[in-house]
Amino acid sequence: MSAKPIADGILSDLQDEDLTLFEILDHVLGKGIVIAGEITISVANVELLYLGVNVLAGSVDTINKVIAARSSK
Amino acid sequence: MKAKPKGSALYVYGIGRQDHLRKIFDGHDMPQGVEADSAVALVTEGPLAAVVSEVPLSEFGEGRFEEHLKDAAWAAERVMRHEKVAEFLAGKSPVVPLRFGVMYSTPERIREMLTGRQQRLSKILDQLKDREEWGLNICLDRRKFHDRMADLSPKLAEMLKKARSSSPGQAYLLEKKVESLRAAEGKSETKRAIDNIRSELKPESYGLKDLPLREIDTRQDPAIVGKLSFLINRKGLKKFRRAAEVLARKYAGFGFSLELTGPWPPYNFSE
Repeated sequence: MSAKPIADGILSDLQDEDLTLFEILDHVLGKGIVIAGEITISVANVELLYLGVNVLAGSVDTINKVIAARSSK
Repeated sequence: MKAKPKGSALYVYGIGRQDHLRKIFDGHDMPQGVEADSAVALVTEGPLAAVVSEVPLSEFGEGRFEEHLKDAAWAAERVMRHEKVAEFLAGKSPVVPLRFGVMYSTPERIREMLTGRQQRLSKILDQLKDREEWGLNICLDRRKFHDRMADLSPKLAEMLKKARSSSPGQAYLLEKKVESLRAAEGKSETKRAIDNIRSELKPESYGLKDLPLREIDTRQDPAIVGKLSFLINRKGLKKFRRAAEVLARKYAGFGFSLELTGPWPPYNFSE
């Protein structure tokens, strides 16, 4: 999950396949509108999830499976 | 939507205008919900509708859901499915995307929520029309930056010059001073660059948010030193990109690089 080398002076576009899991987590678990359902994910659990994904990042197979969940139907 | 069967909750992805969302549902194959092969549906109330899917309480119930979140592979896969639904919707109609993990026990409770927040949600949806969220990561190659610091800081250049022309004993002490000055100047120069990027791009957008940096961002090489999110009019995207490209070129020599990500569902502009 390391960042790709970026050419000097060029604004790089991260396409779907380059988007790291963390990028997506940052948005999906980010602020969002504060609508508290009857069940919601707590701040502590968000942190926990980040830690877990951090560990996951070492396993290419698992990461590929996870990424596929976004790109496949 | 019929009353839920026993033992399930309704997971909510986002909220939009009922007429817009109905058109999307009628005209497309919808992506699956957070649970594999689960179907997304609408819960409607007045002009609004929430996009939902059923989730079993055995997996998503209180306590159970928290347990599952400790399993990063389980959670990350569902996060991705959530994102896919949100992206699908946001690409076709203004949608207030909810963050991952919001659930209600019954459709009635969702209708109550939609009624209670109708004005606010409608206002946000109006603001999101024809707009999308784009992320900008500001990355820094620390080695390159380190080497170019003297060009940015006259104070540092002066001290380096002095160190080179002094006796070995003095030079040692001066070098220590140089390093601490380099670190301090580096911090303020980085901040100045980010502030400049922010103020140059803000006029090209309809909203700007600073996203929090995480430990993992700073550990990468190049490190991410700033994360910004912009709300951009689709028609204004070209102009925004050009402005970002100018900045990318301006700062490249000092080790900065810019990454553009998006379009995102407007998670950061739905408050």
